[in-house]
Amino acid sequence: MEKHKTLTVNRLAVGNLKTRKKQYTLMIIGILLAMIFSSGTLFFVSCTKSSNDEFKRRSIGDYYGYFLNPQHMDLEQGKKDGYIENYGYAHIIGYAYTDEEKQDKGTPVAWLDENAKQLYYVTIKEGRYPENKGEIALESDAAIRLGIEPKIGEEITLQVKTAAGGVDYLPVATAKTYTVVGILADKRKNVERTMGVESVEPTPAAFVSDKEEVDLGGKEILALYFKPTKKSMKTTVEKQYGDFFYKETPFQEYFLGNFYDTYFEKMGLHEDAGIENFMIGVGNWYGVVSSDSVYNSSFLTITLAAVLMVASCIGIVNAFTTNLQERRRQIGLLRAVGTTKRQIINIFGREAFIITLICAPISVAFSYFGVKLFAHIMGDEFVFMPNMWVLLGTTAVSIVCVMAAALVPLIFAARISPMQAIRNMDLSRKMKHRKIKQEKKFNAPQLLAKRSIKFYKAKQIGVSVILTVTILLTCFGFSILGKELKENRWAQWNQVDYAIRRSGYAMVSGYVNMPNVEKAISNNEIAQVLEYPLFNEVQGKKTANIYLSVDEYSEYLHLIGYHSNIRYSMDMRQGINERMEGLTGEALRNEWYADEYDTYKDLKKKVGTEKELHELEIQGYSPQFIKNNLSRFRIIDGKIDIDKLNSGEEVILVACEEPGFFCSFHDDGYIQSHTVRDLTEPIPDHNLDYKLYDSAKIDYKAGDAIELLTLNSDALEYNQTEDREPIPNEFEKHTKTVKIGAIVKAFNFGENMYNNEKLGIVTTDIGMDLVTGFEYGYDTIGINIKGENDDETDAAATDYLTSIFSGTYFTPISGYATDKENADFVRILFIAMIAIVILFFSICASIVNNALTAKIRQSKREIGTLRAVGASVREITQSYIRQLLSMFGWGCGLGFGGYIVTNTIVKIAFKDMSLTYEMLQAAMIVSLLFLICSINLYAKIKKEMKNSIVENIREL
Amino acid sequence: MNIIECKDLTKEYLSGENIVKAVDNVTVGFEQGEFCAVTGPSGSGKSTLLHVLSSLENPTSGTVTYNGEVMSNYNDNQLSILRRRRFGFVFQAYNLVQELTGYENIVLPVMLDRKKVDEKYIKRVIDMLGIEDRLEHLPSALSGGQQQRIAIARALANKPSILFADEPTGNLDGKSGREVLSLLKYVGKEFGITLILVTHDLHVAEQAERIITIEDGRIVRDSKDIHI
Repeated sequence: MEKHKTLTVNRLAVGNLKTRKKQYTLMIIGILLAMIFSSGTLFFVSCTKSSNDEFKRRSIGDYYGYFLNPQHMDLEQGKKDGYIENYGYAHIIGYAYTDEEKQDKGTPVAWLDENAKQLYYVTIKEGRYPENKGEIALESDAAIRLGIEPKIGEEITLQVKTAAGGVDYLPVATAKTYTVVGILADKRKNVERTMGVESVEPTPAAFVSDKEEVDLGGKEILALYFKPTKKSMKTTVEKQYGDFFYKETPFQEYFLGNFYDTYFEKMGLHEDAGIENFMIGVGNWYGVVSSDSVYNSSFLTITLAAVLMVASCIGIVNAFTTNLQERRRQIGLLRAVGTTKRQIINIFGREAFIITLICAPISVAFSYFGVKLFAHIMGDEFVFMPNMWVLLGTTAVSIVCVMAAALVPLIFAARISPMQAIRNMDLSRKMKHRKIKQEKKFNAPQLLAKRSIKFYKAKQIGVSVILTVTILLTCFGFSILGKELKENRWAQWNQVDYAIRRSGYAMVSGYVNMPNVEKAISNNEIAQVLEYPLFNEVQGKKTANIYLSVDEYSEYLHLIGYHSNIRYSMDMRQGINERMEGLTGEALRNEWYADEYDTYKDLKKKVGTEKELHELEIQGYSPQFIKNNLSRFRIIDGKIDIDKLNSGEEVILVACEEPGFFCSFHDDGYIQSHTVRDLTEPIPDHNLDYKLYDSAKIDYKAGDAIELLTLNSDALEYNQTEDREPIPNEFEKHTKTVKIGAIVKAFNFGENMYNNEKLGIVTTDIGMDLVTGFEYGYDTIGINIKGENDDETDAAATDYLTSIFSGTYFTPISGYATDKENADFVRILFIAMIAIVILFFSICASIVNNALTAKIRQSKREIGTLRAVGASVREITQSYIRQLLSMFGWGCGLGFGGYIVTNTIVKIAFKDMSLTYEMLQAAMIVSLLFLICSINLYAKIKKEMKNSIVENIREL
Repeated sequence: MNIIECKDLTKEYLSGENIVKAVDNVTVGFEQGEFCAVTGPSGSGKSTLLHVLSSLENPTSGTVTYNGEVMSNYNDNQLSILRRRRFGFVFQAYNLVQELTGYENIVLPVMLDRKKVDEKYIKRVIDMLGIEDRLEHLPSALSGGQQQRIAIARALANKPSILFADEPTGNLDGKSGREVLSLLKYVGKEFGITLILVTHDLHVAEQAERIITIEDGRIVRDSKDIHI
């Protein structure tokens, strides 16, 4: 006799799974796909984060900051107390270079202790780290700067100045020979780009083993690298400064508390930098390099992750809903024999849990390897290193997502009464409460479709909504992608192949030009650039301060001057308001911020003039550049004559035609900000809340003579105070009267070019030298290459430019590399877009399919009846196709309509965004979806028709 | 002349792994205007005979002839047209389309045929069946008897030649059943329709002019033959 087994909830659940293999296989596939998407998204987020972290570590190291010669700093206690995660020392033994004349291209030589190696995040590209005396490893960029091409195992001879403690080296260098054992990834170059030339001076790019010692008479320079703990970097400590409350991190508190007194002394370099500046400067370095594709994609990924997770959950809800709907009768029977709601949820919940347990490892494995493959395809920039927590977390989140998604339909299913479930009474009940308009004459398929839509509205709405979302996502996705494709191109200055720009600091900062301090690109450097056989031409731009010397301040100049005259008073809001109150016309125009006015008077006194001086910027461009851009100049008056510009006889005046002075206000009535805008230009919408205070009209015309005054100082260093370089006591003056050849409106040539300037002077570089009486260097140059660029040429050209400009404030930017980076970004966008569209497409197809399949299954009897009373296959199919059309009609109407409306609003509100209307892709996707659903529908109906009418009728 | 007849009709079903002969080599004919009851115990094959005769199911072998034309030669579309124009059906479970009102259910075959509704005729049928006040209701709001009347009206809407009724009183209480039966009889006579009614209830069968008894898929008794 068969042994009776105890009936448990688990047995019921497993039994269900066994007896409904086919349905479950389909459902498992659906859930598996959804889980792969959701866990894949999580892995992708993790990949982006780890890529970001790794990229940062590889670029500048894993440390937060460093201090020079911190002999008195003991971070051990800080480590014990949980403020410091790690710290280590770099022992700088000397400074190496190859050429006496190019000492600034050299690098400190150091050995790192084990902790410092971790913090410096030494990344070996080739070979190994030095272990023995006489061995050296160099960063790639350092080798380029030194002008050597080291091979592993090769001996190199470097001139090395021995360290002398502090930040100094002994004056005489000795030749030292090392064996190159490793090539390392660049750090020094990146630190230089981030923190400036001075800050990078003690950062080593050449490493030796710890067996090397400082030569006799020298003293090693110690650099202490440190990394605070994550916990101590959260701004949790409340502080009070007078009436002002602020928060700082426990690390700041610890650091300032213990080392404040010795901080500036020990820093050695940043005497004027506050601790926050230094710390944050390194910590936030990554944010500075915002064009990097990983950084861009991380923001995008997190946004997409949320969308994909929600979409996956919708898919799972749909799979479970369909499954449960098909099993209402079973639920009803279980309820009829006394199963409680909780038990129902338990039985079906366990089924879901069993399915989830089956799906979880498979989906996690699939998505893990999928993201791994993606990271591999995307190259070095993407690093996928999930730890155990990420794996467990992803699995747990996937399981929770599926269970939560499964629970939603389950709770609804458990709520129905037994008879409702067995006899499908809810439809009858629904019908009883619906008022419908009877039709005397009707098209049978049409009326049947209409009534079905009316009675099964929830399902129709669900399908329409998901379709709407798919359409919106597709349209906006392609709109944004189109925009990215269009805009993510190399928009560097005048479309040149390479640009060398000054990074970090403004070119012109003082009242008086200080060319010895604000070093620009010299003609010598340009000549070096042109020595490279692949470079074709160099165009440049130079900038200087210049004064328009006038007998008296005109209304026009007053107005133009408002903005600059009160610009330093932004933090004196009350002061501005009080001064501005009641001031109009001349009174307002004469209103100067007191300090500024004092300085102005001082300037006039030092210049020795009674005339008024209006400060301007003069920009001199290569003649070829002006010629190339002639069509872009918006000339108000006169004409551009390159020869006259070159001769210094004429200049171009970039001017605001009708300047208007606008202020915007805080809610409390104080001025929030102020600006001068050209009233003849359309005012951007976001400036509508600005109140117009005053306006004037241009009083210059082509042919007018203007007197220009240039002031130059031969000072060798800044004497910078908090605001602006003060006026030196001695400087050269150069006055020149020129004619205005043409007056043009301000426009944007590209990066670093005129934009939003109210009044300025443009001429050729040669003309500028004559007008200013000084040969300034270039602050930006653009280089074009001969022929087409490729990977090899770009690498060689970039190396060449780096060797010229390393150690200066100027950074070479490759258009080719930027294009590639942007293409990567667009590629990521495109992959993400396609993934989302495919996901929504699949969900859409599955929901439409499930809705109609369920409807057909539920309507078997109705189909039988219709066939019995004479309806043909065509008429029955027509009725369902009409229902499908209705779903698609609503979905398309809302989707495309919503897109057109939203896109139009966005276009009007944010004119700068220049979004295009991209509906073709969505239309194609929807058409394909409709076709697939129609074919599927027809196949399903045909399948039903294969049954005899009696089989249809008897179904229930 | 028989309006509908079958010859050597056999219908087999697959029940699990066994083949069941629901109708076994039956030959029978029905004349125009005749009221015939097909009776027999449960599972005897009476309903299957009705389904095959009315083209709701295909025979396994044998032929069904309507007005001298062999129905197995018709394609699905032709059969649909035949059903909507010439046949009327009344089922035990009424089988009304739940989303349509009483009136819409009644005129459904006419609408499927894209013909104009003969308002006078439909009104007469409705009056006869006493359902004027239930026309605007959905089937879910009607009682069993009322639903069956609507089903009868629908069966009559296209002025059929033959009305097939499968246990039309099976779901109704005694009184409603009797009413429905007399209505069927009445409309059959009134419109000269052949009425083929399947029932296991002898009291119902007794109302018919001709009674065919089926057992194990074979006709064991036909009152017509006895009269002869």
